[in-house]
Amino acid sequence: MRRELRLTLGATLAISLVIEILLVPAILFWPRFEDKLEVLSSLAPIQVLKDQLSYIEQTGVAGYVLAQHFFKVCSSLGVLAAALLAAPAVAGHAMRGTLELVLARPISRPRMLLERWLLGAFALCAPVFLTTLTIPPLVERVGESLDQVPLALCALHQTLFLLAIYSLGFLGSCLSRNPWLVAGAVLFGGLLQFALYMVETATQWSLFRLSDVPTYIDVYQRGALDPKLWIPMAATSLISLGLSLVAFARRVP
Amino acid sequence: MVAPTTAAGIVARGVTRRFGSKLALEPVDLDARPGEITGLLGPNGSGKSTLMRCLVGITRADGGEVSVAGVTLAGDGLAVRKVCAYAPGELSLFGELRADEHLAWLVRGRPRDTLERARSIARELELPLAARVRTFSHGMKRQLLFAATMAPRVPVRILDEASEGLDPHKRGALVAVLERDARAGTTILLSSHHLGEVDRACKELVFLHRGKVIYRGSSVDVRARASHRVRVLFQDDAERARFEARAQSLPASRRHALGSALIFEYEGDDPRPFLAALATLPDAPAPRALDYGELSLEELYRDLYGVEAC
Repeated sequence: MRRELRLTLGATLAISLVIEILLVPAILFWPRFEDKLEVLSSLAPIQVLKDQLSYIEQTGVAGYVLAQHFFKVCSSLGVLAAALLAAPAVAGHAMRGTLELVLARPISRPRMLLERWLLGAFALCAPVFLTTLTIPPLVERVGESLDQVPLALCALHQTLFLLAIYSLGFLGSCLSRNPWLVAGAVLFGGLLQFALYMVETATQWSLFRLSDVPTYIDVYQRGALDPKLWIPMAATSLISLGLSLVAFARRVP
Repeated sequence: MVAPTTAAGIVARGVTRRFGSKLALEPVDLDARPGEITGLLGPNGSGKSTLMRCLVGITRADGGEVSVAGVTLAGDGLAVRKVCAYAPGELSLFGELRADEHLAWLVRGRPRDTLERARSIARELELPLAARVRTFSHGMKRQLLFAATMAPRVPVRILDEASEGLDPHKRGALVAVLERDARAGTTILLSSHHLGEVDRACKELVFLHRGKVIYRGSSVDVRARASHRVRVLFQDDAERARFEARAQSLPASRRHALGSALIFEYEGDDPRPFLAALATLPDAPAPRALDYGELSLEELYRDLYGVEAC
């Protein structure tokens, strides 16, 4: 367990650090961005980007920070992290030949799998919350202010989105012997969904609609999660985890 | 769950397992008694590992019943794995861990004092506990796994190819530890295709071939069967063939050629009628050498499987 905890802590710190490194200059850039917002809107090459800038124009620093932190950084990095954390969970052991050793210990399979899922979920979600905590003090440095509670709700919405992707990847790992294949499939799926999001005529079919700027602005302004969005995301995670337990129970080394 | 008991050993009845269209285990019965080392023998792919995995619930059997130390195998086999230590045959460890950390990982789920015993056994085997496992040789990794398997205080141990890759000295040390453990009342099931080790350590031998038990008996019975063989060695294959053509009249229940040798199995306990007939065989080429009575299990292994034992 110490090995797993150490790896989880390392992954949590690494992901948090990368997000923070991207977040700090983005927030410090806000005053210059605000000055050039009109010009940028006119230069935006596609409608989807124009819309994003328009939301930021309407909501000011809140829209900008939500776009930068959640939509741009956490969503894109999060999908990558979800793929990398989920893919080796079981398939990694199968590939390196350690699955039999894992299963040989006197620990029940559901417990083994839940521990692994929880550790991965922690490494995925904790950085979102940790870095979100740093937003209010950073925003103060550029003469603005944002409330912590609605930001935390946005972080919760973000983690539900990432957990759904992570859980699907986790299920893939329980069924596969090749972690690279699972990670590749999750990343390819993520890229495809992001590409769909950018196409004006197909954007409504993209899963990134669940985690885009208007969604976070809505959560921030209402101070509550939208059940029409969070329930399907949570259900996806729970169903995927349930199927993973079934698949792992039948898994042979 | 029934309380574990050292008096129960391993009892398996009608264990079957299929992988797709391939029948990996035909209904297999197995008994391993407490205080004894039972050898599970067979060439690669004979079903030894699958059977062992089925016994501890790592692979679910399609049919049959298993009881280990009085605990009936059910579900994912957790109850069985609590009363039994299992060492897989496949040797893939976490190279990035130090040996001490790896031992801790391997004995997770066992009582706290297990780790200290594992360390003590590893020290006895002269393993450097502070070194990373990736710096270990194949044999050292095998010994690390062995230390973790011998550490828990459990009534049953199942070891798949435990001595594979060890030099004769280390193999001897490992067998000595197993024998000591068996004398203390532990049931040990040991798979191997290394007959020297099995010959020495096991009381009961079970031979598997293509998922089926093809022979079982005490090592005394097996040795007796092996001792009913006469090996007649010739200069070359041509000599052997010439002799074989004239050997129809010899009083042997079975015979088969192995290179430039002929192996006969004679009837009864007395080899003299067979040897007398062999000596008076007309026009037969003279053998270069002749062994009888002390033939090893390897002969039996070749006889059963038609392959050389390691």
